[in-house]
Amino acid sequence: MVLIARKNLFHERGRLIISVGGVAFATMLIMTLIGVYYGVFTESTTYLMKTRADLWVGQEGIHDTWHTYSLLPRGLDKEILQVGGVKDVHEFIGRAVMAEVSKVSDSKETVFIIGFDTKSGVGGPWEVIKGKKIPRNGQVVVDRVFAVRNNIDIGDKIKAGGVELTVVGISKGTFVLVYSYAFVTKEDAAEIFGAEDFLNYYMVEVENPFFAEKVAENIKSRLETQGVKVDVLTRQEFIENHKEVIDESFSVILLPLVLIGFFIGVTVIGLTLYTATLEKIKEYAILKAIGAGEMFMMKIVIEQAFTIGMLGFISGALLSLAAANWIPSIAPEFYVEINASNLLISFVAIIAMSVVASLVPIRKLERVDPATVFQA
Amino acid sequence: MLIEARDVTKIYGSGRTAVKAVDSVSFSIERGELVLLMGPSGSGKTTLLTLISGLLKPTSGSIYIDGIDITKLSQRELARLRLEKIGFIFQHFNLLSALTALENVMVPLTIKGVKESEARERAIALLKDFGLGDRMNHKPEDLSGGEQQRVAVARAVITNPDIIIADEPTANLDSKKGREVMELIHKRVKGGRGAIIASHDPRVERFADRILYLEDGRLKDSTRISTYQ
Repeated sequence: MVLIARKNLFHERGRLIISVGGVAFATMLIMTLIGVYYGVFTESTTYLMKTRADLWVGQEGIHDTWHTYSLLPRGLDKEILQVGGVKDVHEFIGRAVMAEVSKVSDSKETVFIIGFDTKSGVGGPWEVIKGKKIPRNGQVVVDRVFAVRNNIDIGDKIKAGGVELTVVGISKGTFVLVYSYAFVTKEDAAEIFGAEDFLNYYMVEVENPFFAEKVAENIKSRLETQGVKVDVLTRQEFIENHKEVIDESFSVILLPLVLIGFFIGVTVIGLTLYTATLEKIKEYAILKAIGAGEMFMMKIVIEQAFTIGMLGFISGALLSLAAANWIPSIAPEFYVEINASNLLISFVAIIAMSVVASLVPIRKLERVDPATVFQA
Repeated sequence: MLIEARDVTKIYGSGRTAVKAVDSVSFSIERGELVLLMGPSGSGKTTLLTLISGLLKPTSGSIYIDGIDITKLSQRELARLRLEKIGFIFQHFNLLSALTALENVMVPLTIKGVKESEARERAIALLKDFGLGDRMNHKPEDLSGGEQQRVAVARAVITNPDIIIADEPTANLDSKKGREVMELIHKRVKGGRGAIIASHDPRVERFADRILYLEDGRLKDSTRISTYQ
């Protein structure tokens, strides 16, 4: 049965190549879209992963840095340091603002300005591809994507919140879906946001991360006794909250596109099998006449569907890997992450495509009348 | 008895458009007997072969293959019966175009679930026996008509069926090739099988033990003639 299925399929090489190409395209579409999805997750949470903060202390009821901004008074770091198990506390001041790029006339782009403690470096950029990592007042480290988009280099100037900043460094991995991070001193951030008495979060390092949750409870209790209501989130909780935000907004776009890819695959495999079945209908009648049962016939179609599916999957996966390397060179804001989970989802999609695409040809074969073999 | 048809009738359509293709036909075939089914075009030969094969159900009457009433069998049972007991040979050879001669002969064994290595071994032996040892890796399009029909005969007998059903097996062959094919079939029948062959070809008559004449769906005559040695 395997022999008949494969021989029939490979007999028409041109059609096989076209259908494998179609499935490869569908696989690439699905895999790249899922890759972008994972890429956005990774990029969006890299800052939280790289920053040495085991706990994030924010205003009560606010659980991420993107929705409503958390506002807390300055000076709570001393209180937090009193809590047992706390190793160090750092301020986080960050918000999205419109930045003007003086080099390009009328060019404006949203950036997420982060003011960080330049002495400890906590909360600052972790990888700089050009220039320096730590800015001084009046200086800024911008993201690579922002720099490429606006043709900015070291020494150029941008204006944010009325404050002119000189670009002294270009960082990598600091682009989040629609905007990039820009790193300035705490003092500059306060001036840009016009909020010298407030900040957004306290980033807490604990002595033993194993007891992070217990320390979080104690910080919350201690600050409540001071009349400040806060929520204290572990790094993982904070990351999950950011992932949820992305999931809510991104899956609405992603799901229909993945479904389109799925239907392209089903259509390509289905049409190939159907035309191959029609073309060999007399031969299938011969097989039935000489004693092939329904199961034998069904296995031929399924074998063919899976052969097309697997060849398409392998080709599509290779193309996706190539695309994942190529896309960032033309669109640096896109990071396509091809990981094991992505491969598994695409593989399952191909299996499903093959099964669905087999249904109509199988139905056609069920109706083949073996008595036609005696007709001229 | 290997094949027995009892009062078999087949009507296509219904009402005023009904056509009686086979009309109350009864006959039987023993082991070792090669029966030739003759008659003009449209006389019901092909319909009768189709009924005996279990590919069509008769409107009335019964057909027994090796004692089993095939009109009572399900489609699955009929497929199994065809696979086990019947070998088919067609006028247009009906080989699978994507497969080589060897692979075509292996097909019935593959359907039966015989291991590929064993199926290959048996098919090679048979093709060599049929004088096609050097042609077994060719596809049908690269074989002559005579070679294709010999491959078709090999496919029909590879499972050692009790019955060979052939429809005009020599119609597309010259006299030499036609004789070769009939000799192959005759040899198998004399080895203990039975065959029913529909044919217009008078060259086939000399291989037949008996001739059934059909006309307008009715059995007109049954002549015993066996002379071929």
